[in-house]
Amino acid sequence: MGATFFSGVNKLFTRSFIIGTCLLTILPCMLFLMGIDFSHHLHGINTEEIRESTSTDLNRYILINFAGAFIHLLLEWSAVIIAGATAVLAFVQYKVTGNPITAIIGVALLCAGSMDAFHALAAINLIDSVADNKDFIPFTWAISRMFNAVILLIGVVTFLLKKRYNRKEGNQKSKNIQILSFTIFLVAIAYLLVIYCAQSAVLPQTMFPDSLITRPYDLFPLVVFVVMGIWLLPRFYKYERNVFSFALMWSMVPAVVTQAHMAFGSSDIYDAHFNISHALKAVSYLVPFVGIVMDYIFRYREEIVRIEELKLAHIKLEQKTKEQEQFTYIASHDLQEPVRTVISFSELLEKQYVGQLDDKAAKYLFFINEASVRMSELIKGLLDYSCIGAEKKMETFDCNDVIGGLRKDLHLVIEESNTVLNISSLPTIQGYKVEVRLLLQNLITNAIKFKKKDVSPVIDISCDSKLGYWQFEIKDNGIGIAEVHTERIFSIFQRLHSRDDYAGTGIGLAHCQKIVDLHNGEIWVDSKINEGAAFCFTIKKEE
Amino acid sequence: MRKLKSILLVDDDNATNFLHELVINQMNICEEVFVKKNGLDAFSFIEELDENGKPLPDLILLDINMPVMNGWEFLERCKTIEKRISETTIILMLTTSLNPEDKRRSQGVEMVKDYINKPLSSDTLEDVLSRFFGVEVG
Repeated sequence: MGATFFSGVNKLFTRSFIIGTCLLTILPCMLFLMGIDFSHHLHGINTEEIRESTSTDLNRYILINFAGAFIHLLLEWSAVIIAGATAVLAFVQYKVTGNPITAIIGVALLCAGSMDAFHALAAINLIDSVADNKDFIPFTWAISRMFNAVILLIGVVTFLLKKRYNRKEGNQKSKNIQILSFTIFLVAIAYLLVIYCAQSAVLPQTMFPDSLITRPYDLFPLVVFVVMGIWLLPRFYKYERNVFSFALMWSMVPAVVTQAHMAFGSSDIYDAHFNISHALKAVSYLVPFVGIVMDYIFRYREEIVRIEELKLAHIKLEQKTKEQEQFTYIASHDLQEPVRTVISFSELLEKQYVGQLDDKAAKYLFFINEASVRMSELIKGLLDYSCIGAEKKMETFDCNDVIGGLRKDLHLVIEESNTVLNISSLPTIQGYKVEVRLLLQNLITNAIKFKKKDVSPVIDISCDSKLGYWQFEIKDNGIGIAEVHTERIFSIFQRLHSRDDYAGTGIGLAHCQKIVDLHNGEIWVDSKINEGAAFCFTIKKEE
Repeated sequence: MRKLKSILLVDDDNATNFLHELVINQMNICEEVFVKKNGLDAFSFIEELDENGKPLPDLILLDINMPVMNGWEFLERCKTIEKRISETTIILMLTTSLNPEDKRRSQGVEMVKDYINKPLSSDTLEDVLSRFFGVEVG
């Protein structure tokens, strides 16, 4: 999550973010100290004045009187909307990244927002309370702040405890269950609080206008926010290094100052510090919102960069592969000529000096010739290997036709060895026909070559349709392959038997591997010594 | 058996030329064998014969990879006397491997009648003689 967060570009962002948050937090206080009045005291409705005003005047009069309530609703509702939006983005991020902590924070914000909504609606009597508004508003404020502080605390502490005791994260289902249980728990508590607030006739007094600490209930959240900001959230950020947790950490600054304005400054509803607190509360929700939006933006940018890098790497890889193939081709091509010369002249020697060479010389000559022929075959094998797929053409073809063609080409070998070919109905596939033909030819000739001494080869060829690919199987009843060798035989020039027993350069299966790779498939063998071998390969199905 | 007047070998590899000369002489199919080590020498040789009104070689065995001037470049130069060459001479291109690219390229040149693998064997030579010169070797 946001591994490149501290790159150069982002350092600028973090600095501006922190400065912006802090400035915004102390701005109201500064403005207040400069004399700007943020209060909207309830003037109280004077019945005399009402009787003497016209109806338009009356409307204006009422509206002005309720300015405080309107401002309060605006501030609260802004906070609620921001909290809701942040929660939605957090849930979306959880869906994408699977990180449960994002969902937990989202739930916490949503519940806190809901409590604030309750407080706001109660303040304008859209939710009816038994108790008087003068007690109701401050009490619900205090409750919602405490709720906010506590649920954030629970969320973060649970996360940190999990990390400390190294609990495994678990699968998607268990994560979802955990989040759901946390949500139900919070909603239950919130609901109980709401019921209590709405239905109690007498609510505890929360405002003490004459003391230093005018709203002592706001001290508890203040302490919690301080603890979160100084200790718990930085630790949280250490584990979850992304913009969202960074923002959450710094949102404690306006949160603490919100509480401070309320706890020490506000002695009446809708007074200056009351309004400032409400504004700062909206700021403390805004900070994580900006955080999560920036998280999305950074990620999106990262994705674009990553895609570009991947494209480039892919192009480079293709280039390198092509270069390597060219090199192999050129090298083996140029190696052939001197090899050919050695063969020609050693043959000449044999022909022209028949009888004139003693046994030893004849033997030396024989080895020279044999080795040169082998070298020539190896080089040709290498040359062919480098050419595989060079002129590949994607076509749709029937595999049964391919097998039919192979039967004809190999009919001599098949008759000589009394081979029986059992072909189950093969599909029509999309692939490189020439290469697939070579692949099947290699596997069939191998099956015939490595037969048991006095047992006629029986080869079963079948194909299974799987999800997204075809799986072919060529099964024989030959000498089999020891399990320890089943991987390395697909490497180039790997042979398992001496040249006296079986001819060949050991390149056939390497060709098969390359051809299967061309088709984005896999090839492997299931075999035991003396129990035949089943070669399987897959070819990707086209969409 | 009708003998060819002359055969020109164009190849920079001594061993190849030795072998080819051996095969030709063993089969006793021509009166003279000329050997040139690269395209430039071969072309100068042919040009000289042409200017002096002397007969050109009946058969040219042309290698592709040579220093100074390779097989393709030699053919380019020969285009100036292409008409005369086509009347009297068979050119065969020799190569170490059946490179489809080279084969295709050779088919685009009129003067080149065939494209064969090195080294030249007596069988191949017999085949060439019967196909292009109507000469059957006993």
